[in-house]
Amino acid sequence: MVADTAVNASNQVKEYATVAVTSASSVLQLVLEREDLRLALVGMPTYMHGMITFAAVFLIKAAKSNFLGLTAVDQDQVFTLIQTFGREMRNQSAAPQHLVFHVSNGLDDLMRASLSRSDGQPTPLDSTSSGVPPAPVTMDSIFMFDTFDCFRFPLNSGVPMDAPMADDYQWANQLAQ
Amino acid sequence: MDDQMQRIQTAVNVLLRMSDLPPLSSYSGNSVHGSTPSPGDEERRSEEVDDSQPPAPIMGSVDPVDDKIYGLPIHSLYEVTRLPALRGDEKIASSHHKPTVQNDLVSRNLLPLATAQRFFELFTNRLNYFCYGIMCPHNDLESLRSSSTLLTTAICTVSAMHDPDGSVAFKTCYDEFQRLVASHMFSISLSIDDIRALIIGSYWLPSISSTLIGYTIQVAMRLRYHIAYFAAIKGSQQEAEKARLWYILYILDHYYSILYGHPPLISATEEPHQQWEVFISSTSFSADVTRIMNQVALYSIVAKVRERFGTYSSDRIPEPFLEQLGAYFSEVDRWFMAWANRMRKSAPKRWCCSSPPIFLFQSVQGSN
Repeated sequence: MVADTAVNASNQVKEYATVAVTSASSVLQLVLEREDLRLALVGMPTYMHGMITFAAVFLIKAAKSNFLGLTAVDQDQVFTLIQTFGREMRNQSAAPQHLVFHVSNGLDDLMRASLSRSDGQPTPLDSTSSGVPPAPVTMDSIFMFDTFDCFRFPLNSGVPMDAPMADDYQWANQLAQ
Repeated sequence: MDDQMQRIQTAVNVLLRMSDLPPLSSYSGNSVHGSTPSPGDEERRSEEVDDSQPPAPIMGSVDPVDDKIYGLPIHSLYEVTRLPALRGDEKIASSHHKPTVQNDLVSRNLLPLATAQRFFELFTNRLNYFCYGIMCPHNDLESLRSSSTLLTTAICTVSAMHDPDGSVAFKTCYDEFQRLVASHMFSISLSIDDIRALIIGSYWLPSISSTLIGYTIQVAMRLRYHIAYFAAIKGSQQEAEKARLWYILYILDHYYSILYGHPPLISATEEPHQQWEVFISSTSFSADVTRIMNQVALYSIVAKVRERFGTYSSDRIPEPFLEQLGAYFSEVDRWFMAWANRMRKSAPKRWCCSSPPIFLFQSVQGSN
């Protein structure tokens, strides 16, 4: 698909594009949130590394061009997410030949090349000011209630990346619609 | 003199194979069995001890194998030629060459015994879990080493890769593993532990995984692992073990067909790949098997998507078909609901959780 056809894309395609971006960021957030998945980064098979990297690279490229105009992608949030993810990979304990180290180096380089930042610092995420309730982008939320809810909300949920997740997370806020 | 000894050895090995007897190296050295003297003398010496097929024709007298009229075509060819490489049945597995512990990487001082022990424990205590817990049925290193050199080397290689201090050991083990796999390339008799070794290589070693998987599937099919399901559901424990390994190969095949975007080698429509409930209820290892089967069930959905939309076209999907994509998403939701409840609330559940979003967005990728 080329950028100039994005204006002609139907709403359905745009919805799916949003799902794609949401899913990709869910993959990375899931790995970061769940301790057992984090611990499994060294130990999981090649396929899982391949697909997680696929998600990360897709997000970087989609952020660069707002997914070819199909859906809004928050560059800052993607930048922070990938950075955190790369940091997590580098903190893993394994032989230097392990894939996690190759991937984390490569992602850093790709991000630097793709997302140009003026000050080199990650922008702290500001709460959404659009008045739309924050989008539930994590794994559990997608499958706990109607999937189509996800189509209505933008990617930038306004949740700081270093906020306590999982147990402490205030799900009540999300569910109060 | 050496040359002649070598020729005699090779000729004797050929005769032993033709008579379904163990190879020469397993004898104590005083008796050699042979039915008829073979005029097939070798002109080249064979380097490998066990399975290499001598290039010269073998023309001994041929006794019929059995009177069965109905059989695979390859059986007929084997029956009249007795060329060992043409055997296409389970007899191959029983005649595999026993490994020599004297000849593995520990006894050749490539790897200290203590390090090998550490790697063995790392694998059995941690890494084995990631491959559904069935990659190392041995309780100690000695038992492993005497069962399969290939499996020993594979386990050491993968453990070294996961060990922060394992960099040097990894290089040694990896080279040794590649050498062993290459030397087994044309072997027709691999044990179940050898198959495990190849699966381990495909699972964790990124640089050779896609090469290994095709070869492993081919060998496993030759050894009839793909139909082990039918005997397994009737209660055979040995076949159940083979069936589980076959399912792992099936999952790996589907993983790599997604990663690389090429057609899978194993068809998703065969009965063993659709009747996962039957298999789960037939086995006593239901917790581990459930973990395997949830991936098999997920892949049946992916296979349907692939069949509908194809993987080659870079054209846009026509609008009417986009609705169907939504239907497949719902199927994945249902898959998640069904399997998440069956698996304990622990890593396995989270494990299968990571698949749906990946699947969702990669299929959307395909549509754009």
